[in-house]
Amino acid sequence: MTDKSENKNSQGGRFGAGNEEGAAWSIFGYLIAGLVIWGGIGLGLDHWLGTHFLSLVGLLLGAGSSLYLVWLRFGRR
Amino acid sequence: MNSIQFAAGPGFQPPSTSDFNLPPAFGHSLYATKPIFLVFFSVILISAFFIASSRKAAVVPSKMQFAGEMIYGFVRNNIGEEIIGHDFMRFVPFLFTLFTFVITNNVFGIVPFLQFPAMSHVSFPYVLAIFSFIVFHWVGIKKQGLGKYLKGIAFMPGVPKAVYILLTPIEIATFFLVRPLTLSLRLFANMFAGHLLLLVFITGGDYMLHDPHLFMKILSPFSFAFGIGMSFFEFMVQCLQAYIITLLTALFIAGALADEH
Repeated sequence: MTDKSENKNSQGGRFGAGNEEGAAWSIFGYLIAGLVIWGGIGLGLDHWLGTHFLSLVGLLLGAGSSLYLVWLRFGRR
Repeated sequence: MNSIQFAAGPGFQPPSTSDFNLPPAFGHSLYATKPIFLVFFSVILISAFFIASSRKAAVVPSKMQFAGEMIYGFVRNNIGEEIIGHDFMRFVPFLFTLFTFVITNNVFGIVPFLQFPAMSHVSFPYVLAIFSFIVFHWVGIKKQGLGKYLKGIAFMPGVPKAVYILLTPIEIATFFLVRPLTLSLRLFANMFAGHLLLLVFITGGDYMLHDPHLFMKILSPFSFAFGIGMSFFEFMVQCLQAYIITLLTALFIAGALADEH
């Protein structure tokens, strides 16, 4: 019993990557956070500077960096 | 021609968010509403059941004891031990309370006469998420110290320094904003949508039954049948959502406890 759990935990690490269901939810969280934060920064800059393209840049940047983050957390073994 | 008349008929009021704002059960107190009573009732029900099932605990369990132990064993082994692993027993009381509380209140949504999931009011899931939020951050801070814990969240090791500008805001937002929000909104949205779905089929069937056209009366049982089918589906969703909120809380605790490699 304990052996099994130790095993799970050491694999799981900090973000529950050992548990696939948990990993799926964490990844979902990262993707949302990336879009919201960098998209929001882009939108704010658009409002401030009166431009129109920065929200798009922010969204792409956010999507890209959250994918990178997901790869760092879950892909890199 | 007739079918167009049906569709354009003035009668049917589709259920809306206002159906969730129930009037006070008695008097004018804003707090004496059905969801509040259901929540209190659920606490009494859960306590009574588990006290009764464990009071005369025997080596050869009675049916009730068996049922109680099965639920407890599920939370302890399949969520607590499996996810948190080493040192999981500390968190089992919290996880168990969370699970039983949420599942009971969810299933109230399809219990005849109760028939309202308290979690379809967003404040209830918010409070649960706040509890979960406090617990997993507190556990992490206690285990690793405030500075090290925050550093572990904000700066992931093995990345060029410039990249932190991109990643750190995402990490911080994930841990302090997205996690509690998704935890509560997922539960809320599922319960809200499920209750609305049942309302549509049941009130729709009722409306069709009382429609003067025979054609509508004949179709009405189908709407009721769908309502019953959806109730079973809802039961599945209700159990699943209770499981998921407990599972995610356990995962967050496990994450806060684990050391950065």
